Amino acid sequence: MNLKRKEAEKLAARTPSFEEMTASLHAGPRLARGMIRETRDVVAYCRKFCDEVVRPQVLELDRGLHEDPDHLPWDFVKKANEWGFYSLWIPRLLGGHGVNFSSLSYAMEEIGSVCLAMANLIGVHYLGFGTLTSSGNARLMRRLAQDVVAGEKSGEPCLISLAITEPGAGTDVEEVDLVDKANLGCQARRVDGGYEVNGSKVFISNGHLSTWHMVISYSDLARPSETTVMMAVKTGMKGFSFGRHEKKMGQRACPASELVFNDCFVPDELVALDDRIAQTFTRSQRETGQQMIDYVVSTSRAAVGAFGVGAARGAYEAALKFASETVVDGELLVNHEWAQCWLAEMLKNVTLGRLAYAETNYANGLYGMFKLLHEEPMFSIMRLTPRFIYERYVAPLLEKPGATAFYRKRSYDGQSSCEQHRTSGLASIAKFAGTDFGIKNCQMALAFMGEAGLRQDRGAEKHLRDAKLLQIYEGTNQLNRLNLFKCLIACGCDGARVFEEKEGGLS
Amino acid sequence: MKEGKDRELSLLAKAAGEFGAKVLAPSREENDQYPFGPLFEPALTRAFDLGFLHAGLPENLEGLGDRLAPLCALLENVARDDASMAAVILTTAFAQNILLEAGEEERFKSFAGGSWTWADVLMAAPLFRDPTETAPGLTAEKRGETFVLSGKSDYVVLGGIAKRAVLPALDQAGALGYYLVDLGGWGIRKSGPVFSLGLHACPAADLEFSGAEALSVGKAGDGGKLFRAVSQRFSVAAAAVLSGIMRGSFKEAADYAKKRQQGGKEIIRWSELRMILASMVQGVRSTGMLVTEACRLWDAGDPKRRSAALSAFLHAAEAAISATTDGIQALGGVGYMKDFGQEKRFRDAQHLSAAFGILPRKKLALLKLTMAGE
Repeated sequence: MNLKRKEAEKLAARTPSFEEMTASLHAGPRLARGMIRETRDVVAYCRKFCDEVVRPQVLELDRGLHEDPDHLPWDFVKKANEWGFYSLWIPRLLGGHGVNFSSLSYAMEEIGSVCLAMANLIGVHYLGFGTLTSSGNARLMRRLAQDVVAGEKSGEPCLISLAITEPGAGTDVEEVDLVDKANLGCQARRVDGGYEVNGSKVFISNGHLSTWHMVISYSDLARPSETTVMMAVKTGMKGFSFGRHEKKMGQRACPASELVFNDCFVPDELVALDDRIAQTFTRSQRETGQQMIDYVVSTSRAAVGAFGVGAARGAYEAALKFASETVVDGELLVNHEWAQCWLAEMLKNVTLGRLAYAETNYANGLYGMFKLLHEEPMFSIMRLTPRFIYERYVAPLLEKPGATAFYRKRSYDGQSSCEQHRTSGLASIAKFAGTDFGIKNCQMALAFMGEAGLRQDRGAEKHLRDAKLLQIYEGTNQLNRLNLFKCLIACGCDGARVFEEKEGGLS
Repeated sequence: MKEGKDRELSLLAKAAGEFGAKVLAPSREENDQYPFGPLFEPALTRAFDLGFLHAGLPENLEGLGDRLAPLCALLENVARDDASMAAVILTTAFAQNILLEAGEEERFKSFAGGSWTWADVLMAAPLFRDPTETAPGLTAEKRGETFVLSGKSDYVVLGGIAKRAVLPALDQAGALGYYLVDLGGWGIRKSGPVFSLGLHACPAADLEFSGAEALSVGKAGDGGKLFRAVSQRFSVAAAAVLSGIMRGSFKEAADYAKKRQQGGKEIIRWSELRMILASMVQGVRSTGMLVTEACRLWDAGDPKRRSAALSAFLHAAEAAISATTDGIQALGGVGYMKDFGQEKRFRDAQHLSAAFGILPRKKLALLKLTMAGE
């Protein structure tokens, strides 16, 4: 290859950039040695959890929730708490078990392949915690993490939810370019010593089950993109209550709640991020707002992609079992050639979906939220340092403003726009590919199984009911396609604009 | 489907649509709660009064006659608002037609009585499960003039609420036949309603027989022939139900898109949303045309009617699954909730498609018909 270095760099930078194509190649050599074994142990632990906790109750719980839609699955949540799932992915620095974040996606695939609702009862907690992490507020992160760990010890689970969707605005609140035109109704008005919140949030997963709620609101509804406020609200605070519990088609065990705020005062100590703090960053408040969203969704969308892969896998496994047990036209179905190709297509969907979320997580490790804790020597230091050292010497440092300032500087100012777009774009691919594969496989399983697949007691139909929600939340798959366009296509396409469509022609 | 200038068909379609909108739609969510809520008996009573539950019978028995088009027009327009009722009509008509195909018309006269209600008319069947594809779990043994049934028949649609069922069974010589059973008789154990993906108000039950008395339907060994004749014809009826589900889904999606705002304007003004609606329209229109054409060929006795019927069903199944998936997507989060009709349509479309049996195998059956020149 007769290329000069500059020429090679220029050619590799062409769209698609070499970095965009090869996150795993870049990440491989930097992976900490202990990460593979740790991830394997997480997968094994989840399989054991599925065998002993999830599978024995999945269908009965789903049926019970049709009989009594207001039932809350505390028994399962307490069991997951007992198994340590609510602190497993919280860093040791904050008192958790400190398992690597990437393994969360594999865990969600494992549990989701048996029951997406139960996977959500665990995964959504980390959406709440991840949102708080994106604020970089080390003091508040420590406070909530301590509550989670204490809840694990006492047997009283402490979950964290994320409250962002409003009755009049779903997709709009996931994009800075849309939020200024959104029909918002929940306002956090600045008052002495904090904010006063009024309005409601809807479709909040795990709302009724959570102790803490990371609430995203706006101090000026006319300029939401510049006045975003992220705060922690605790169940029981004055002026905060739960509204209705939505009647969903699937994922019945994971409640979607309405959160109601009526002159709810949130003190400054519970404010994770607002426009005053955002002013201290290098980027504009609007850009910081988008970066914060991208930090969160780049991890959460990979996890939702993993949920989708879980559904795809659950459906595939149900179809394979059916084919291995059912005689059609005098021959086991699994021995019909067309059926073998049908099953192969389903396994392809599972595998491609998994590759997409794995690649996104490599990007998160290289450029995003996982970066700080996944690289050596930090990875090993975190595991080798005795817990009392953290508690006695490190934890008090987190209370200092300097810790928060360092974390924010490293996370926000240390990430380039290209890195932000690359990670966010890959996450959107993982999300809509994984969840589309999920739906596709569920529909293929039912077409393959005929009437046997329709019975709730066979499990296959539940995967379909559960999976449909995945194409909607964490940004609809349409929004994720547009985000992919914005992040990885528009930059190489002169004149391209997103979210500014002119009407005309066939409109 | 297109009613064209057929005034009778148009009136029937209108009556069915009004029944759906006025009787079914207001209680759709409540009716769908079955078996965890009450069965929609008031709606069944009204359907009976309107003659919808007799739809599969000949005109002299108060039915819609031998033509397929009226039955399809009825089913499509009822299904727009609640496919469960359409499935009740479809299942009963399917079972009725097994008897008619076997030349057992006289039997219906013996069922009718002075205090005839919806419960007397309903007839259960394992709907479209092909007894030649997977062998039935029932055996029939001759005892004098009648037969006794033993074994299991799983997932008999309306098996828990109908008074009679038409079921496939193997006789002592291994020949496949159909048998008419009084479900209130001795030797029958019924499960509770089988909790299933969709069509909740058209429930199925698992039936277990231990020496239950039954009457043979048609000639011994004719089961496969009877099933093929009736299921091929009724695959068009099933396609009509799917077409109705799609039409309902599109209407609700389009209505919502005109009201819901995003990015400062109604979502229908965003072209990606319009593209979703356009795909739904494509499915609605193409399915409607195929159902209309299949009805025409069937009613004309065209030699290619069987392959036309199966094509219409296979297309309708794919189109309805796709359109109802989009139908939820167009509404976003609320589309997933039971307050709206979209999630039910999504389940019902998938349910009816899969209830027809192993779908890819139906494609192979279509190829076989085509290669045989049909």
